[in-house]
Amino acid sequence: MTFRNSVVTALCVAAAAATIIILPHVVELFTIINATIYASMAILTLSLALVWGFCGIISFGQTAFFGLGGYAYAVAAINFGDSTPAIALALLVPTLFAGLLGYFIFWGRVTDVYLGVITLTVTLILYKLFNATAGDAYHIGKAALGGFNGIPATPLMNLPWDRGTTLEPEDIWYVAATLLCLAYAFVRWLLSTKLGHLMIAIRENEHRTELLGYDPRRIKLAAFTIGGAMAGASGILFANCVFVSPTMFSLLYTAQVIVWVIIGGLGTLAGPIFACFLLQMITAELGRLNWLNPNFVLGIILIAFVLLMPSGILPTLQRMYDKITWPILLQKSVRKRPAQ
Amino acid sequence: MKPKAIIETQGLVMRFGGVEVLRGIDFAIEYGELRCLIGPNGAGKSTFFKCITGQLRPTAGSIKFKDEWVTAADAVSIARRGMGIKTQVPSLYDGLAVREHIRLAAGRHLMRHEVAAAVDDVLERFAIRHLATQIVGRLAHGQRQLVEIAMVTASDPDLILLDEPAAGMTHQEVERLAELIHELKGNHSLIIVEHDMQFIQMIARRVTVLHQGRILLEDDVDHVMRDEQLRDVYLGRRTHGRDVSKT
Repeated sequence: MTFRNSVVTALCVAAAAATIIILPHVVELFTIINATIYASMAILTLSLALVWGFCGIISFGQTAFFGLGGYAYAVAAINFGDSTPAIALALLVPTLFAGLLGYFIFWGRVTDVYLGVITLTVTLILYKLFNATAGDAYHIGKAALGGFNGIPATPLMNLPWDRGTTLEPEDIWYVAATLLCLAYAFVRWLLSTKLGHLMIAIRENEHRTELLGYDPRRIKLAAFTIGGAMAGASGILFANCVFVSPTMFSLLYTAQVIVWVIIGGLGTLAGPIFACFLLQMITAELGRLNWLNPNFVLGIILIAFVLLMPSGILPTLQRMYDKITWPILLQKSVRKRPAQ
Repeated sequence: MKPKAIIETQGLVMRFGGVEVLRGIDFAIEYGELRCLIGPNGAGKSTFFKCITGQLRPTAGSIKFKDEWVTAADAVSIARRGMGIKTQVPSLYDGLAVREHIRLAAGRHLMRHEVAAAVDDVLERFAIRHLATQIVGRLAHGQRQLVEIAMVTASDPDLILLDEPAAGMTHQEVERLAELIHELKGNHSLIIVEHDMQFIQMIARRVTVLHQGRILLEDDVDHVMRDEQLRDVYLGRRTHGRDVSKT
């Protein structure tokens, strides 16, 4: 890492830490809860940014793992009365589900649009399934699944192994924002490892990767499972700031996450996170103003981006930055060159 | 004692629907040998490569690689057993840098701390150090060919298959490639598909001529060059062993 990069990284970390700490002291509770929702959705977006943007797997199934994480957390927390083992179980369930689904998909050599169709179908099956759980017959232990209404009384997180101390919304913001930063750092680290390089290699040319002796199925399964675990973690946080319901599996969320990744920039990490925050803030503001349907505006934004800025916000900004700085750098290097 | 073959095919047949592209190929090369495979377009050379690398499962016949039957093996396991291929149309990672290509190939069989040195060595041997940070998608065709061969070499296979390695290269690049192939010959067995006869004379001793899915001829390069049959085949005057110009 160059000195310049180290300085930029240090400044980013400091800015993120300052924002996380200061925010609850300067904004009202409603905004903190909203920010927590955005942070949890940003982790979901990051999972798709990894799976699709870096491994080339077009997955519509991230919301399936998101919903499973949320439901597993709510059901386990109600039954255990303590969020600590519930969180562990809620991470395990979507991870195992993603691993199993991924195994059948990748060993079945399902690729491209068919993969998208299968993951979307699985998500919609779960949506229908959880919608059909209304009534007393549908419960797991003490937790009634609640059908369309979901589980409104989703227990909030408590301090580890201390069920008496429930976290306040401000604390949950700290947890969600810190987890988002950790997830971002984790994905950055993952992409710098051999596995990360192989994910990118598969995105670029799966056939060549095979001819070099790497098994693409294993690498894609690893990426898909990691993405599933991240989406599950996002579901746990979401359950702590809203509540769990079949909406978590809905087409709306599935589409939104894809839109955020496209607008932020496929093949980037910070771009989709930025787009996730920005577009959710725009949607919330439009909802508040109540003069245009937020989803209609979101659709127009997506069309505008696809037509005018197809590579997304971050790559476009990067290109603009390069255009500005390259002539300056070139001039400097010409000046430095000794006279002939 | 008969020298040991690194690869051997027996009665290899590949059929696509009603079209028989390979019609019972019996082929073998020894450890450390360099063999050129020539023949007109449609002779079945690339299909033969695809069959022995596990990209296609042959309709009939068998393939033995390093004393093990690999007829039903997939491309990954054959590559892991030590076979590397440079495909006819360069198969590269267009969005990645040259160094990244070599690193991916070397990283498959080397320990983490050995990779950097191996990458530098390959970049040096192929004289592509100046391209190390270049994105492969932006390189000229000849350079892309060279990068692919370098990548295949970096994975250190026992048998290297090169499908038209000199295509699209400048005269200087072809000469450099011939030198490189001579260097590779010491440590690897090679099968090279090529159309450029001058290049073949620069690199090979033995040549196998493929025509309409069959082996037509197998001999020393000088004999093959003088052979009437080969001339007829390339001029389209011979099919199925009969002279079409007389029909």
